[in-house]
Amino acid sequence: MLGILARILKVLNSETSPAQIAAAVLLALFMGLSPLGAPHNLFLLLLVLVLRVNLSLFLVSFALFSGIAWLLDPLAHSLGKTLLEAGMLEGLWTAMYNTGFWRFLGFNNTVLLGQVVIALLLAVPVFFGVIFIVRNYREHLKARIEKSRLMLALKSSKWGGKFYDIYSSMSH
Amino acid sequence: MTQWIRWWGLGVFAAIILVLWLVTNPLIEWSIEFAGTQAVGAKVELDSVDLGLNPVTLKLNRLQVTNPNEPMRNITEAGRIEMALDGYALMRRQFIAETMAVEGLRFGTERSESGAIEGRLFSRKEEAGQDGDEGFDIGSVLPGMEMPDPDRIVDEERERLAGKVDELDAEAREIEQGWNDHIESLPSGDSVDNYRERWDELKEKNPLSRVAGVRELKKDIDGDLERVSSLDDRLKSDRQRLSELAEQARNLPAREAERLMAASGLDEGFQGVTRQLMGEQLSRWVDNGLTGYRLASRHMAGRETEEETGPPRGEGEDIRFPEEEPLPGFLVKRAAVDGVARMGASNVDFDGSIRDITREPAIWGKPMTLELDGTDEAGATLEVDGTFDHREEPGRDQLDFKVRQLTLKDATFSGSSKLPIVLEEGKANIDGNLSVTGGDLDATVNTEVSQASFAAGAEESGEVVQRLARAIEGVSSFRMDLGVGGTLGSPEISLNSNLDQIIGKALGDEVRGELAEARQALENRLRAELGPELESLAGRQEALDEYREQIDQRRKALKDIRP
Repeated sequence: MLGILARILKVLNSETSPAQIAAAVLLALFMGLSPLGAPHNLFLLLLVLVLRVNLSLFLVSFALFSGIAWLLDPLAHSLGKTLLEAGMLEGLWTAMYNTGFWRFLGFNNTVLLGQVVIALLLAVPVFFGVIFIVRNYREHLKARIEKSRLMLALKSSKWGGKFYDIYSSMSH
Repeated sequence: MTQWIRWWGLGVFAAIILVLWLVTNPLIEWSIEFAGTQAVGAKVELDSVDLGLNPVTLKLNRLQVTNPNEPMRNITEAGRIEMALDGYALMRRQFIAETMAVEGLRFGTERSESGAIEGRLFSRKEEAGQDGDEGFDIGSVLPGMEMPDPDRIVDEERERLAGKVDELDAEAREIEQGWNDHIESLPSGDSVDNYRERWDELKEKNPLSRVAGVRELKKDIDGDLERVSSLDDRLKSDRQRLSELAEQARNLPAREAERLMAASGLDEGFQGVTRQLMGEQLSRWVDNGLTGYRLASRHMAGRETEEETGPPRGEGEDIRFPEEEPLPGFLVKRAAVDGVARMGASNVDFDGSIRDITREPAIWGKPMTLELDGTDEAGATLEVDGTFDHREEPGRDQLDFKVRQLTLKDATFSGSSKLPIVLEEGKANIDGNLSVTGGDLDATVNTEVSQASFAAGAEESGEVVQRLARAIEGVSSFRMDLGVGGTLGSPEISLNSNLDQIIGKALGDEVRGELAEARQALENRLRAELGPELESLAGRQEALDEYREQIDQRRKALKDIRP
């Protein structure tokens, strides 16, 4: 756990592009919010592995969003059901339902559709929000945090020192 | 652009796909076992699973479904199940099999280890076991043993009997009260005086006025006479009704004694004694016969009541949309089945087909049908036909079967410790039909057994039981007509058998005499308990005679003054 946190800190402090960091969080958002067995997750996994997104950050974000998905399940079900039963969308759903590809993806499942829609709604704010946070962190917060009393105290404590050692070993 | 690509990621992805492919078969096996166990409430196990991709086939090796009521026994076991799947439909998340082969199907096979699962089962089994050990208390139907205790029965029935007496009493009181009202509504003495005064006044008037007044007076008196006459019929019918109530009150103890004896299974001496002797065994047979059906029927109707409770967390609900050719999520169009059914002492090899197996028959538009034929080495034959139609609610299932020349051996008819009865051998012809409509059960199984040889125990028992045992041992052919009604969850069993008469003949008047004595004792006890209340009911009709006199007096008075 300390190792993962150290890796995340390292990523934040490195020259890694904020867009790559944001992409890791974005992919985790989609995979974490969808049911694990959803077919589109296989494609997302391919993207996670092939695109140079940060895996540590992806794993932590994935765990976080999976927990959120569990909490949001009733909301996702209601949202998905509302959308699937909306009269004005019936033509679209019917056309998709009669297509093998969409049936394979299971779009007609209330929870799956609801969670994908929630992920889509969150995608843009999350992506740009992460970029904004990383940039701000690097420009303003990084130096101040390193010099803060809290950080100094952390470095001198047993666990904080251990964490700092891991972090230092990664930095070299 | 290349700074965004991680080439080794492709290798990792390929490795993950390979691992997924390698675990596909165990994953399918686990899924089937898990879902099956959830559905049955006892272990469902598979030896192995083979999934083929070109063409798409699925092979299940040795499927075992534990009987939830008997964890050391399987409800059914299949050696191999192989099906050809529609690959395109599978991509659409539909499990469609054109054909399926089920080989080596057997029922009631023993398991090497318990198929019980934690925390789900067997309180029912324990109850059944306890009953089975106790066996049927033959003492309740045979002489020289325990007969019903009148005091105990009266104590138990006191409240109900008092209610019955109160019912009769209330009706009698209502009739009496009605008559008080009728009499009050009749013309009183004042009315008669009033008519007399009017008549006296008329006498003094001129002839023209007198004629008109007399006509008016006559009309009024005739109206009253008519009202009085109308009560004659009423009085007659109420007197009759009170006589009937009195009669009912007189007969109540005898009638109730008869009813209570019938409730104890002792009403007609030997009618139903076979049912009593075989009660435990019959319940077990019926329960075993229905267990598989109950499990299957839970899934026949397809859609469960998700709408009321909401889908389980994380699973959601699949919404359907119109399709050009709608297909259910699960469908086996034709399953060829072969196997062995253990019936009596025979192993009957059977084969046949089951068509249109689906949980959503309304979408598929066809009911599931079943046809099986079988024979054994000794020449017994089996025919089974069934239709399970759940296209509309309530679902209607019909199953007919016919067995000829079935060899029976060592079939336990009664597990009673006082009178164990075993059919050592015999040949049976069985005709059965089962109909279930919306959970209501209606089944008959008519069995004729010939070349029968019974062994009945009771060596340590009294003379009467031994006589009964000898009578049963002397039976060489008999008939049993089993009826099952009620519901699937709570079947009600009835049995008619000519064994009743055989047992009746064997025990003759001795038992009838004892039963008559017991009934008389109960009747006497009831008469003593209810006597005072019933006696007060007996004389009620005489009270109406007083009203008769009053009616006659009023009529006479009116007639006397009528001009």
